[in-house]
Amino acid sequence: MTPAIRVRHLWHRFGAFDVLRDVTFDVGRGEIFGFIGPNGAGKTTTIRVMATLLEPTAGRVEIDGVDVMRDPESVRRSIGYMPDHAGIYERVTVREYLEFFAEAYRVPPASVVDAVLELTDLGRISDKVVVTMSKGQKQRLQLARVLLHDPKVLILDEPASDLDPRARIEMRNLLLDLRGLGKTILLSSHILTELSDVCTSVAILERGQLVVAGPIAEIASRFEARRAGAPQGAPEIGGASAAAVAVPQAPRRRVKLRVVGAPEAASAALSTAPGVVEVELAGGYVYATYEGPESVVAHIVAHLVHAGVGILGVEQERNELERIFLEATRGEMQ
Amino acid sequence: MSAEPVATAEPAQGATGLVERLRQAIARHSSAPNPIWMREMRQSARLTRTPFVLMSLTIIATMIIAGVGGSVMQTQRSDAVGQALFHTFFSLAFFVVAWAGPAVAANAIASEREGRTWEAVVLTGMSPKTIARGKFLSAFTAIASYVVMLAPVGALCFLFGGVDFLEVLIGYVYLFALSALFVAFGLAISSKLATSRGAIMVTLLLSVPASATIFGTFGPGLGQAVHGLWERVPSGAPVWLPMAYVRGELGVEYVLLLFVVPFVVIAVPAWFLYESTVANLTEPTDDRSSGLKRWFIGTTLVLVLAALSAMIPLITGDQILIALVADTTLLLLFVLFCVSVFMGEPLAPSRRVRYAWDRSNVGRVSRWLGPGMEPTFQLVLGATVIALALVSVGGLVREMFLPRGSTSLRFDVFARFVSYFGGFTVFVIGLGAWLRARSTNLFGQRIVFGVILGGLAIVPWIIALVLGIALRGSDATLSFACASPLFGFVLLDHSANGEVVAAGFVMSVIFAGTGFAALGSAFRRARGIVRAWEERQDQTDAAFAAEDAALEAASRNAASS
Ligand SMILES: Nc1ncnc2c1ncn2[C@@H]1O[C@H](COP(=O)(O)OP(=O)(O)OP(=O)(O)O)[C@@H](O)[C@H]1O
Ligand SMILES: [Mg+2]
Repeated sequence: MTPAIRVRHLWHRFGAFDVLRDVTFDVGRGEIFGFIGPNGAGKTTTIRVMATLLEPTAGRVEIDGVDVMRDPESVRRSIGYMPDHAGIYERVTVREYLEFFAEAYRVPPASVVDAVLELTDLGRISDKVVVTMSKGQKQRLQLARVLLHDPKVLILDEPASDLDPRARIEMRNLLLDLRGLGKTILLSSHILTELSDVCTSVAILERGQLVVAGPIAEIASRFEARRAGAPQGAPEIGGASAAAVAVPQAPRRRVKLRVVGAPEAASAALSTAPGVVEVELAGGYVYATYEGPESVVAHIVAHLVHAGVGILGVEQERNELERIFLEATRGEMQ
Repeated sequence: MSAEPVATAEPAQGATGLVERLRQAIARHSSAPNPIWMREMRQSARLTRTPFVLMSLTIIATMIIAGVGGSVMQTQRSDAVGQALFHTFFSLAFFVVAWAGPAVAANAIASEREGRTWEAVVLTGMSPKTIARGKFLSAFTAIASYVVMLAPVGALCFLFGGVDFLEVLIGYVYLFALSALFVAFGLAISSKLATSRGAIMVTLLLSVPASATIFGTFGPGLGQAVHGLWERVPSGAPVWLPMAYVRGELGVEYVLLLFVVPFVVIAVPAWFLYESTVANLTEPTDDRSSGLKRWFIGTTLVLVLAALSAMIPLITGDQILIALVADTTLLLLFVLFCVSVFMGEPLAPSRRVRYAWDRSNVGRVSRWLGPGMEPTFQLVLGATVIALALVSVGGLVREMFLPRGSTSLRFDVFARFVSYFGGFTVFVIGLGAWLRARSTNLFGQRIVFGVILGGLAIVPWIIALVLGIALRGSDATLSFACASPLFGFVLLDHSANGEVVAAGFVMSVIFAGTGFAALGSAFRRARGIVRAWEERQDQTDAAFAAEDAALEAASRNAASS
């Protein structure tokens, strides 16, 4: 089965500046794919090519097996694209807004609008005028719009960027529901935490170049293996051979500690603990970054106990995505 | 999620298929009004300021009309008051639609770009034509509602007599037609610009002086001339046109002046504005050209027909010469405009366009009428030459049927004029193509185009003037100005000096030669660029094909092992 999205050797140039340089990756069917990169990395540019809105300088993109340059009309029928910071007509109601797009897509408005309203949980406010809605509600309305024609692939550019934590959680749940309906979802972000627990695969883009791409677990284990000192050629990641990234030999992780008394005392003790490379204090907690296997935590705890620090709690920070991101981009960032 | 796109029934084959398609098109239009129009109507219904704007407009208009009526009534008879009110009302209404129309329309598309709602609309697959029509209908509805609100005020003139019901009715018909034209103008500007504020600024900057000029020339100016033709049309009246329908005398002039000219003057720009709006709404990689090229062909045809029919009422050879000169000049100005429009053509149709052509088996002629610099400039050149030839032959034929004893057409004068302007036209077309092939900065190239032609019009005269002073001015020094297109009019002088005539002939040959050379060079360059680009694309395609094959082989191996 062909992947839902195939991006091959994508180059794009604005003026004299190569915004995309040979970007290649796949998005498998039924995945929630995180497209991650700092501001200006080229995420939106790549996404606009996928959405048939921009013709790249070179390279090819296929959505559901159809070349976006060759047959943009049928690609448009199979994608739902939500631009970043897009506007909504302000003086229409939720229902009128959706009915307009349903008619524009030539789908029967009556049945489809109700279905979409229910799915996105906007049914209760369907007669509200858009201008009076909250950001989170507007964002859900945008998502409702791109669902009207029942596309197979959803392409969402920064869907959660302006949302408060609660709206973000609602959005996340909605995305999981949509995945349950068999949709493939590509979403871009520069905030890692907003994605970490829904994404199944990621691509990390930096300055127009792909750093790494693939299923999260696979990338993590590959990094792990490389750290363990396995001899390495050019890593083959998602068809991209461009990921010539300086991967550090030792993995870094963080533990969050809650201690009895002033955290400063614990901090001082920690700085001499084995394996610890960095100590931070925040919100009454002590965060220790260490190198090496997870068993180092046991040594840290022993060290603290030995130093007379009472420990109330130890929590391993398990944000795989964040770790991958930090490690993969370290070469560029330093 | 049970949303399934509505299955559009495949039309049957052959003739019944066409009928069926027509029927479906009609059904679609009558049952489903344009969604954009519907949405915008709902939006403006929620805008609370609309009724207030309309109300204040009516009150102001009533006050002006009442003021004019009152002051005229002091001194004049009742029917003069009626006429004064008629002219005041329709002049006022003209300026209302001429300023409000473009300003309202200017917002229409630019605001969607600015508010970032545009991409969503495009991606629904709605065609640029549907979008353009929806936007037009919304803006036109708004302006038409202004006009309708004003209607009771306009009815005041009846109270005093002096104007006919039919005159007022025709006045309204023109008011609506002009509103449509002005709305289309605002829409075309809006489709080009990225921000509402910019679009409104540009439209107002253009429409305020333009409406004043149009009012001055077509109103009192032309009214004076029409009064000379038909005495019963009041002299110098600004709103003479509706009156002329009632008061003019039937004849060829009646048809020409009241049907042919208004049709050409409204339909040709309206069609152009529509096509350029649609082109601007179409993505650069799609077919933006076919519509504009169809407009060009249609307009050339209309201009030729209008030129030929305008010769019918002429009675002397001198009049025919004047008509021919006017037609040729008009045609040249038209070509100048079209060349600057077509300087926006892509060098060749994009891949997307060619795929679409291949998919729907588009024929050679339609492809020639599609995007691409070479066919476009071929078309402009060919159509211009044919049009010039048709008009000239028309003049010669018309001369054969002149009444005995009237002056005959000075064929030699006409021939040197037409050959000079013909040569210059080829030069203009060549220059446009040459500049197009040289750069991708189309706006800049259009400015260069304008500067070159402007310089060409003026500089030779300065040279001739300087040389004339230096050489103690004989008539022959005029020939130094032969490179200026305005020199063509010097050639009209019946007693032009032999050197001047010779200079004109030489220059026409030089113009035509340069024009053809520039065209050739432009086409060669464009072909070279396109070929290089194609080769690169072919290489990438080959690489993709290899990769695909490798992937397939790998997956087959994996499956078999
Ligand atoms: N139309 C354009 N003309 C010129 N440069 C552009 C254009 N669009 C984007 N760029 C540049 O291309 C680069 C990539 O832009 P892009 O919007 O794709 O980044 P992004 O990854 O989406 O960033 P962000 O997180 O800020 O949305 C940026 O440096 C941007 O300035
Ligand atoms: Mg972006």
